[in-house]
Amino acid sequence: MSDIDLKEFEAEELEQLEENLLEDEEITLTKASLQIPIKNLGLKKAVGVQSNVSVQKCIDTMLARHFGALLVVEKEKCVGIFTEGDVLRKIAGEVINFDTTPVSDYMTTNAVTLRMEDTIESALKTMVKGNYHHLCIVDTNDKPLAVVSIRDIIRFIIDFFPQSILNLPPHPIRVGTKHADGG
Amino acid sequence: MDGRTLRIAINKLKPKAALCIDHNKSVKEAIFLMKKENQTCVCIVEHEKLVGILTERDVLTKIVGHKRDIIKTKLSEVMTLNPEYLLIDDEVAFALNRMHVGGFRHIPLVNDEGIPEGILSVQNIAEYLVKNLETGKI
Repeated sequence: MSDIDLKEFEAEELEQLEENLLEDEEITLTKASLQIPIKNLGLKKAVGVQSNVSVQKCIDTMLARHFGALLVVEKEKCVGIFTEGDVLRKIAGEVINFDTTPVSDYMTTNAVTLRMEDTIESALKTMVKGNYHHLCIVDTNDKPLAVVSIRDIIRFIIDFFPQSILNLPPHPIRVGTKHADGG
Repeated sequence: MDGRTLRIAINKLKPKAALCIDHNKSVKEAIFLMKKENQTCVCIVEHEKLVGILTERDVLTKIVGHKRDIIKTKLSEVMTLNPEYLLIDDEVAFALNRMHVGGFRHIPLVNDEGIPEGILSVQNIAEYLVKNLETGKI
């Protein structure tokens, strides 16, 4: 066997080993996998703020609790959502008194809401259709329960592919690149 | 859909073209550019090469939340320096790995010279999944 044959054989063998690992440790993501209710995502309890709370208080809360979105409530019902997207689009660079301006002036009203029983697939499709990063989860009385983010869903999907996503070499193998990845 | 589906190149997910701004520009200019282009992330460049990124999350946590003067503050003071990047032909699995491990929502995509070509967002991944659902591949 020449050196070239040997290399080819090793490559084939490695590929086969990799295939076996994929088959052994990974579950295929099917449409049925996404039919389970949103409540299975293990979401954190919603942080709701009253609609008359100041923008400053909301920003402080988002920073302190590392949230990208807050649910805005009136009489215990969800009336809107205030997200980091709202901060960029409506507040950043504008002359606003954060301490005296209520969040209701800058929240996104008519936010799409889902129930805990709705499927992960419906949340994913709603997010893509409306270009949303966060959705409000409410109960039958529109009382806020949780926020589901696009990252919650992607995390759920990644869990199906531990071998393909989490057990990767530190850098992609590239042919002819001049720079190392990362940095 | 199995792990092999994630071996396709990132460019198949049609990432957006990179929105770029020079590192010497002010935060105000970057914010207005993001708003004008309706983008949630901007690549910061020096001599055209990627040196940082600024995302809507940074705008909240580093700028608005700290009441920084957006005219006087240079981008280099608030950007995420030397962000993780990938090449447009790298596998989607690597992008998901970076998003999961690093908690990133955006991955800058550069060419061999380090010049930004695109931005892969978590939204691109979600769109790809929905497309697979609709075409019966999931």
